[in-house]
Amino acid sequence: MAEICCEEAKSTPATAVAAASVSATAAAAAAVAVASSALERRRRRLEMRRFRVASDPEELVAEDVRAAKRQRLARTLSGSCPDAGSDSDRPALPRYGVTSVCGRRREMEDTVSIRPDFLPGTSKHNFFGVFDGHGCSHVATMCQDNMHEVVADEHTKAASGEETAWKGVMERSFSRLDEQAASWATSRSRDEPACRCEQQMPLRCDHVGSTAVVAVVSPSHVVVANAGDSRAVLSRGGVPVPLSVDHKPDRPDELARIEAAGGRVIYWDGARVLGVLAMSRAIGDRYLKPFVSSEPEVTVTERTDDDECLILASDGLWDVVTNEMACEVVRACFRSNGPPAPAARPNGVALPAAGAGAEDGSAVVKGVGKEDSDKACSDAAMLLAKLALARRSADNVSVVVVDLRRGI
Amino acid sequence: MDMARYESCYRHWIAGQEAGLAELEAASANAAAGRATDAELRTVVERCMLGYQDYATRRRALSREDGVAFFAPPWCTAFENSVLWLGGCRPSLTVRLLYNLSGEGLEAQVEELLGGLSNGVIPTGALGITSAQLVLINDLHSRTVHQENALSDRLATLQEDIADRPLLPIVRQRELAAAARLGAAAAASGSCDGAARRRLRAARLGAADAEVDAALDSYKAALSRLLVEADELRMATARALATEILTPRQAVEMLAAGKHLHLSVRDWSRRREAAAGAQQQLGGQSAGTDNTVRPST
Repeated sequence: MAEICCEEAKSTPATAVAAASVSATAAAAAAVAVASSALERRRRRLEMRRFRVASDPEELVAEDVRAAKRQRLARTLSGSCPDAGSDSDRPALPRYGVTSVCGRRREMEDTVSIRPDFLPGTSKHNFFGVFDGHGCSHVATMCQDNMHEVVADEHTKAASGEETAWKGVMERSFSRLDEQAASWATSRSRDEPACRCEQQMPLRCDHVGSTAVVAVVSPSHVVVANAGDSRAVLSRGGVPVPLSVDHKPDRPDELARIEAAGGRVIYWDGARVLGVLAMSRAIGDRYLKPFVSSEPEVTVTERTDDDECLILASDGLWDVVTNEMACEVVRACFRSNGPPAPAARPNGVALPAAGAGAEDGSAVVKGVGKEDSDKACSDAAMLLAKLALARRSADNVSVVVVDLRRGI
Repeated sequence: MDMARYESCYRHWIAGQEAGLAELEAASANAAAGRATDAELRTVVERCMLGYQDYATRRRALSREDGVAFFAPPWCTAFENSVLWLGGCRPSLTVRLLYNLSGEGLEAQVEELLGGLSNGVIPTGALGITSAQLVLINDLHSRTVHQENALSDRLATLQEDIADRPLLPIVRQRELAAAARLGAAAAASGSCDGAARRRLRAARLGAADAEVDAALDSYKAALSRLLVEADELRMATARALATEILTPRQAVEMLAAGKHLHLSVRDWSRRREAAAGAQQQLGGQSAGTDNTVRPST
């Protein structure tokens, strides 16, 4: 992501003063909303815990198996015994692979969130999100930590199980995250360490944002919500099907929307909103509202037997690899690994010390451990990242590959 | 201060780089021909690491005498100095170099995979970097950049601090004292402004004293400590890659490429600066000729 380059206005017109006043009021209201939202999240977490305890034994068995697997792997790392465990009894876990590398940038501003079975009371809905921050990483980290909870909350409120409800759920979720980003500076706890943008200049927080491409995969549908220029692509019968369309400022409908709102797209090393930002939608970037909108474009796609995989990635991949090439690489990796197993097959990536990674609040990938991923999908995600590096991608590269093949 | 000894240390290092490169290239050729064991390659890698360590140790001792010299060494070309970071190679460059090497051959291997010609082997490029290795390299990259930024911040603080205090207060103090003396002198001698200004300049030139020397010595000592820590980071990054993450064969390739790049940039920039120097000589003679012609008119 290109660094934001922007001059501060030297004087503030009267209308801007009024706007700032209104904005301050909105920020205060948003802070209250965030506080109540936090309480609500805690209550829901307790409910989820109760639900898990009360659920059928199969769920408990799955939890035990995962914990036991971690223990076996820990022993394996210490060399005391080989891992002969079977993974066939982990139906809850989706088959996915994830890779996230800093690449040729000095700062890592991408984050990834993978939340299996994230909807309370509804089984087999898996959440995948790729967030590519710009200006700083705190908005991307906020999306990583909160987006799945907000989506689950909005889904619960929507009540109806209709697929048509997903558009509203996603639009409200993105809006809430956008509000959280706007109020981040004022609502942040003093215990949290100041991040880079705040240390440099408090106002810089308004210049920070993130893309968000989010997928909810259920047994029957794939829901994708996107704001920005990360991307989701489905491979169906060997043909790439884009589930999102990049929000570039020179996309004709985006250009029209921005200009109708009184903004301008200036061409400076590519098309940029107000000559600053190379995408037309993002979470955050309060400085560029209303031209840079956080409203996602939502697609709801019914799954078919021809579906092979879903790929979510940041533009560090898509800038140098076509949809076609990405889908071909994944299909080739699937061929190399044989037919899909009912649940994720163990991958060969070295594990960090047991439990050590879980406590790291600043991990680039959150929601799952490395041992949860599937080998075929991990091979594909890693190979795509390597290919991006080989093709001289100049940005962070984050790739999530989800196996959609229907097993035996 | 003995600049000749510092330059001698550097020439010894360059000679070591050249010998090391030859050894690494021989080891690489042997490995490609299947004539080198991992143990033998590991020995070559370790000898290379010891060479780096030896250079860092020598620099540590010399920099205590004059840390400043190593930040913009007069024995290097201007171009070489322009790419130095805290007196040496930027450690994160090592990771960038490795990404470049690891990408070689990958495109062709991916094409084979897509064409069904590779028997299902997942491509790793000519260097053979595995998924697990890429994860470790990425983690090392993040840690190294973080530590680099911390050391760069310390240099910034050091530079700001010495200018802010004590140097500027000393400058201001002396200016005020000199102005007072100038006023007194002007009053005493009436219209002798020229003489007063000459006395002011003399006072300023003779102003070096214990306070200034102490400030400059303190700055030099701090730079020396920074150089030592920067060398430690360079060593730690190279050693982590060469002995913990990469296989011996991969380490040989990476170290050879690094030395080759270093020596090539040095040779190229010296050749260009020699050519520029020759051009200046020609320019000087031409000007002299013009001067000779003019008096005869």
